[in-house]
Amino acid sequence: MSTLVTRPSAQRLRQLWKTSCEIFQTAYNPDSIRTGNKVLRQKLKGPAVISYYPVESPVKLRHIRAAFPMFKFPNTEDEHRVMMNELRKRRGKGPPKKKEDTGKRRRR
Amino acid sequence: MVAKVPTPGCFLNTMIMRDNFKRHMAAEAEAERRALKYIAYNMTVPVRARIQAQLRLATMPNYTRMNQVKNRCVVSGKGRAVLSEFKMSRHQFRMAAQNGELPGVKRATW
Repeated sequence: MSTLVTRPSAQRLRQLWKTSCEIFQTAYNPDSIRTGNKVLRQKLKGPAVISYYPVESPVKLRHIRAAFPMFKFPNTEDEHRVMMNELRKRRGKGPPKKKEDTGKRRRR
Repeated sequence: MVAKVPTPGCFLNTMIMRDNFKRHMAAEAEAERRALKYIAYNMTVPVRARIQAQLRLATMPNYTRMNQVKNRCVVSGKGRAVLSEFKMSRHQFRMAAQNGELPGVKRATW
């Protein structure tokens, strides 16, 4: 049945394509010219990239300590650091003694 | 770094500060870069404009490029072996997982 019907001309098919694009609001590019639209189609990822690192908290330990002076808020990290330093000192691994400044200068 | 950028609230070291800065700068310049790239790729635009766009893209500072952004470990600052789902490097991930700090993560056996 389809062999009896003549195929429309290329020009007519193009017209059809163009009208179809107008109706469905798609881009009409019959010669496949590179318009760079694929660059515009990509979603912007700026906000997602910025939100990788967590936001710094505006409330710090010193603010909480100032707001509630009757309570004791331990600074766990600092206490750990001090404890480690004490252990090192016990082992003899503390900072070296500073050389006394005798006032003797090297002659240049 | 001249521009002021909010400080992250995680572990801080130089590399994380630099990466954070790059992220903010790249996000700021993203729209401009996209527009320039579009002009450079568009064959219906006159050649001179395309070349100018390409040149401008090439002369933009490196901290505006998305390529330079690197996912770093949020706990240790390590740049390698970082799992994006947890934002942690493999060792930190292992320690946290074994402590039970990661919900739903357990040793794989099947």
